[in-house]
Amino acid sequence: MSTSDATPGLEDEPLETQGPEAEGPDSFDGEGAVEHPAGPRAVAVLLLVAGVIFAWSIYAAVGNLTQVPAQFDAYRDFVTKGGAPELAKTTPWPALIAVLLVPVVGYLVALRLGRGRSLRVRLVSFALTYAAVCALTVSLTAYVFKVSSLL
Amino acid sequence: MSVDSGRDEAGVGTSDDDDEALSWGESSDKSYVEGPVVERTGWVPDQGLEDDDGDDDELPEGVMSSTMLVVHGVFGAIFLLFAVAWLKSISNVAPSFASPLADWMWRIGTWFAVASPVIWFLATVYLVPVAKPSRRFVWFVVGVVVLIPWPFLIGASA
Repeated sequence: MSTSDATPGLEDEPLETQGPEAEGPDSFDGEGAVEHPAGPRAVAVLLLVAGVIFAWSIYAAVGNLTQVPAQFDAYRDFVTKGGAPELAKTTPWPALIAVLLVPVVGYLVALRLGRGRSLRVRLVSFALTYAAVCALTVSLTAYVFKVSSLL
Repeated sequence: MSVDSGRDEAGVGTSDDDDEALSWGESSDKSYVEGPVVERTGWVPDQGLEDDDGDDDELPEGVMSSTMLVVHGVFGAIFLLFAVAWLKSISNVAPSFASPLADWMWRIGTWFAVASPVIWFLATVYLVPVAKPSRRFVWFVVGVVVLIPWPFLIGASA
């Protein structure tokens, strides 16, 4: 790593501003400096398909947001009536809300990374962010399981 | 038996052979073989270092420094370990679903979660050009932070 190269933030110089010449020869496509922006129809199809996939994550998160607190409430009532209120567990609202926001952020980040780039770059961007969304969703779900132990 | 005489015999008649051994011969020689002509189409070190700004430390385009090679190796190992950790722990997080579609979408999501470290590493290499090592390093660090296999670390199960 060159020490003379200042460390830029991810937002300081987005990928789409690098220009075609920034595409390094290490790219998988092997096309070197040639990169053609994706056509509007291909972009529309990609955004639609990716939107449906990401929307499912949002739909599932909304379902968790409505159902999981009810289960926590029912469990809280049960242990309170049973004379053991100390066993009641707090609803993990931050985790449930984060599961809802993660797909939205992931979709927007993929949009920004692929703006003005080729279809392949856009596809890789969506694959990257969707993988991260899935990992974060599973992590947050595991956290909810951990703190609840009732689901 | 005289040692000196032996050395003299070895020295006589070998001076010309030594001279021939130090030369490639001539094209008129029958044993002379013309080697293949190699065209230098790739990167030429002398040309790559002749920059306008005179920065001798800057590597030519497409060439990764040894430090970045080490960085790639380290982060590649970390992401590989993450993938193994995800694979080991993903079966512990298995909520029940009412519909088969939801169940399948969850399964696909878990597959993506297992593959997420590998996807992140390859996507970073693909999206960030080699000429931007700092940015690639930042993306690697962000990936390590985002893709920590929490189910493996916290031991959650359902």
